[in-house]
This record gives sequence, structure tokens and C-alpha cells, in this order.
Amino acid sequence: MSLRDHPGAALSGGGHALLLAAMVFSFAHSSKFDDAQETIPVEMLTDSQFNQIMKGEKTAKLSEKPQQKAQKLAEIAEAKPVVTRDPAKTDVPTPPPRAQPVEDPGRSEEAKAAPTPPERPVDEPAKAQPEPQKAEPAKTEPAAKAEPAKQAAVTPPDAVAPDAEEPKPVAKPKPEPKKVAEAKPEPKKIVAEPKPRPVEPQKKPEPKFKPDELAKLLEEQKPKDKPQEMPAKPKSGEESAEPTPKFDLSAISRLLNKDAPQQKAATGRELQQVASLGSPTASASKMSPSLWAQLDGILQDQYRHCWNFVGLAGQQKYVPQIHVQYAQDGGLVGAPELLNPPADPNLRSLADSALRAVRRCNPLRIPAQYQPFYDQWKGRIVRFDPEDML
Amino acid sequence: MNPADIAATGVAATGFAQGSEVSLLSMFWSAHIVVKLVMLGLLAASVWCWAIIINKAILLRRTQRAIDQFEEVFWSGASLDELYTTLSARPTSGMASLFVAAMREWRRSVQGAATSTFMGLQARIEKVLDVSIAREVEKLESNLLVLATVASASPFIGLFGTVWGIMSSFRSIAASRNTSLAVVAPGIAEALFATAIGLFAAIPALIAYNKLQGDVAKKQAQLEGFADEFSSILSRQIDQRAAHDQAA
Repeated sequence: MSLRDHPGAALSGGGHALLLAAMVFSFAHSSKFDDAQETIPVEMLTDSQFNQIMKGEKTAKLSEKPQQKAQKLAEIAEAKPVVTRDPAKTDVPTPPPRAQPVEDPGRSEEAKAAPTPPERPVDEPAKAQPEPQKAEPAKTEPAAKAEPAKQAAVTPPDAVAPDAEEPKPVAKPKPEPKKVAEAKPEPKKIVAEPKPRPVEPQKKPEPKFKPDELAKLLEEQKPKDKPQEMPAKPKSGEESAEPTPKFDLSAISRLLNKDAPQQKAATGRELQQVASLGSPTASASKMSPSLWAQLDGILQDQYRHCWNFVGLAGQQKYVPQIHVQYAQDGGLVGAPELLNPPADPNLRSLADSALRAVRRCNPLRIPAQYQPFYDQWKGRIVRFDPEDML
Repeated sequence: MNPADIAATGVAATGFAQGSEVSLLSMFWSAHIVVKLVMLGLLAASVWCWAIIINKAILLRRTQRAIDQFEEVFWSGASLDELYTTLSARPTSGMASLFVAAMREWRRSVQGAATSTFMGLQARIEKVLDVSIAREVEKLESNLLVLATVASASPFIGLFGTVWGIMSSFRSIAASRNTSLAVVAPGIAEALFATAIGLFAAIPALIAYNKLQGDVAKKQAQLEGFADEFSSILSRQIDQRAAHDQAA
């Protein structure tokens, strides 16, 4: 087998060697990827969706308490206080121990000495607001506590009713301890307002010194003040042993959870039910078909009076369509735009007359009932059909 | 060991000394021994295939040229006896070997027994032609089956190397308890390299096999056509001689 007759082996071997050498050199440098940028998921909103979200009440109260938007009730916040409930039930005569950690140690001793605990639960909800001053006015009270409680029993029913309508800021200046009796009902209001629970304020005044009811009241309200109580606790000596670090499963799972952040219902201790102040042009509801039909009729009726066109070229069917943008009062915004300019010059006069009609009817009369839906009719396409209009 | 492998190992040694992380050679050297064997085997198969392809292409071209030349001489009207004497002097291929084989049989019958009948000469000549056609075709299509085998088997062999490499890289993941892509990627790259070599060997082999197979079939048809024509010429000669003998 001579090389001359069968050069295949040599040729192919040489070729492969060359190829390998080329690959060794070309593979020596592998190009790096560009550093990938993190992508952020974006949700697209249309104009009308945005407006629907922003829809608010003009008459909504200004809440001085900055609340997080809560769409769902949190489960954890309510689960916690269950453990600490029992002491309050058992030793009835003594003032409820749960109330103590909120105040300063000095105050808690006083509170124990005073035989009148009933205002304690009333006082606590007020603390739910993170105001540091509140402790001071509260300290002045305990001396006179016996009477205020009685007075409070008489006054609240009428005092609560008017105050409930007032915006909250009124409740704020409470720190001045001018009259203790006045100061008393106010904290209650604050309880009543954010939470839709009108029953409580009436319940409280009734029993003058019924410890059983007290314990119940305490239990009801404890869940809500829980988060605020936690930091205050270490102050009181007797309770210092109690706040064992809770084994919070959800906290662990939160740490471990590496899922991409998705939108979840924001949870809070209470549902946010007060509507926010939205933009005035926002539209929550959509126009019904019948409203649309009425609006179309109204517009057509007005345009019919503005439109005069005589030289009707009947051989060709041409309906000028004009895009018009309205202001909120029905006036024109920008120039009307002819969407389908005619090819036939004979029809141009028809189109021009339609444009003229739009300009002549400049402030259109649009009934007030359509104001809330401005967003939906602000841009319209008006058809000037000679058969319909003339 | 064929030259390509020598070259490969030689280059490999130098490349490994440089020790870049992702180069072809470090990929080869860090591979498992099974994967290495698969790669070397596939490389050898590729070299062999290309050798066969080149040889066959040259052979087929030569055969075609020889056939053309012979047909030109044969149909030029020269005396067949003269042609036989010139051709039988040297080794022949293709159509010429058919012609020489048939003429030899013819001459043997005519010279050996001048008085004997020509009964059976026709059948003998056809047998001889058939045999030499078979011999020629076999010469043409020898080794083509290697191409077919490589074309069909080497992807699987490469896949085997890949699976093995990925298996071992998974085992090293389990051992190192680290799943970051930087740990896994080199192993998988080297495993996939095996499949790449397999495909690199298989694709040309498959294409060349189909092409060469078609060419050989064409040559075979040419040879058979020539054999038929030549045997009909000889049979005409036989009949003429028989008639001549009877007349004499």
C-alpha cells in the first residue's frame, strides 16, 4: 500500500492534526458573558385602571395615624396574646397585670394601690398611637381615678356620638390634662374610630366596678396593643421574666424564603377600610351601555344643530369620522382631527362641513351625570352620517 | 498510533503546561478515563473515515478515467486481439480487466480445441464476466461499510462519553456539596465535548457514505452494461465461427 496510491491516511491524519491545533488555539479564550442585570417584573396599568385604583372619596377623613395599607388581617398578630390571658381571669380583685407593662414602673405601683382599675383598658388603646407624650398626662390622672371613672360612665354616650364624626386631629390635643373627665372619653373615641367596633364604648361605661367585665374587656383589647406592649415590658420588675422570646415560625420561613418578591395582600392588624383621598377625575365605575347610548344621542343632537350641509353628493357613501377631545366642561381640547380624509375632492366639502360643525358646537352641553365618567368620554370619534344627522 | 493522535498528545502536553482553565486540552485532561478513551476512539474513527473517504474518492476518479480511456480504445474499431495483447501485458482495472478476462476465456476455447464445438463457450464467458464484475465492484466498495458503521455508531459513542462525564460531574457535585454553576460547568463542558467529537466524526462519514455508495452503484451499472455488450459481440463471433466451421 504505497503512499502514492493511498494518500488518504496521511492526508486525513495531517488534516486532523491541523484542525486540533486550530481548535486548541481558538478555544484558549472563552468569551465571558456580560454581567446579567437583574430583571424587575413590572405590571402595566392602563389609564383607566390607574384611575380606578386612585378613586377616592372627597369627604374621607384625614387620618392622623399613618396606617399601612392592609388588605388582609394578619394572623400572627392575633395569635400571640393568647398565652398571657389567664392571669387576668384568675385574680379578679387585683388590677389586671397586663395593663402594667405599658406604663412606667412608678405608675404601675400607683395603679395597684388605687382601687379603681376600670379606666386602664380604656387608656391603653389610646397608646396604640405611637405618641410618647401620652404617658405624662396619664400619670397625672391616677389620683383622681375613682371619680373620673364614674363620670365617664355618665358622659360617654353623648360624648362619643358627636366626636365620632369629627376628624381625628381633634382627639390629639388631649395631652393637656385640664379636666380628667374630658380626657377620659377621648381615648375611647380613638378606639372606636379606626376599628369598626361601636359596641365597646357603650359596654365600658356600664359597669362601675365589675371586675369580671373588666377582664373580658381586657381580653378583647389585648390583641391590638400587643406590638406596643412588647418593648415596654422589660421595665416592670415582676413581668420581666415573662417575655420569653417567641418561637416565631413565620419569621424563620420569612428568612428562608428566597422566592422572588411577588405582590401579596398587605397584612395589618386591622383592615384599612377608610377610603383614601383620590384624584377628583378618577373613575371607579364604568359607564353602562345605556349611558353610552344616551351620551351618543346627546352629542348627535347637538351636532345636528351645528351642522348644515346641503350639497349632498349622493353617489358615494362617505361618512366623515372626526376624533374630538373634550375638556371636562364639554369644550374642545386641541383641534378636531378628520380620521378618514376623502379621496374624492367632491366630498371634501362634506368633510370640511363636519369639521366646522365640531368647531361651532364648541362648548358642548354635557349633563352633570357624566362628569364622573369623564375619563371614558374625553376622547370620542364622532361620525357625521348624512342619513342619520340630516 | 496514527499521526493525528501523536500530534494531539504532543500539542496537549504543551497546552496543559500553560494550564488555562477552559481550554480544549485542559478539558481533555481533566476528563474521566472513560471519557478520554471515548474521545480518542472517536478521533481515531474520524481520522480513519477521512482516510477512507480520500482513498475512495481518488480510486473512483481513477476508475472513471480508466473506463473512459478503455471505452475510447474499444469502440475505436481496433482489432480486439491486438487490444488484448497490449492490455494483458500489464495489470488492468475496471472495464479493461473484464475485457481481458473474457478474451482470455475466448482464446483458450478457440486455440485449445480448434475442432471442439463452441457449445458452452457463451455460458463460460458470461460466468467469467460476472465474476470479474463482482471482483471489480468489491474492490470499489471495500471499506465503505466502515463509513456506514462510524456514521451510525459514533453519535452513540459520543453520547456515552457525555453521559459518563455528566455522571461523574454529578458525583463530584455530591462530593463537594457545591452546586454553583462554576463548579458544574467544566465537567459538563468536557462531557459535551465527547458528543461534539462523535458528531464531528459521524456527519462527514454519513455524507461520504451516501455519495460513494451512489458512485459505486453507477460504476457497477457501467460495468454490467459493458459486459452485456461484450458478451453479445462474442456470441456473434461464436455463431459466425460455428457457421464457418460447418460450411468448411
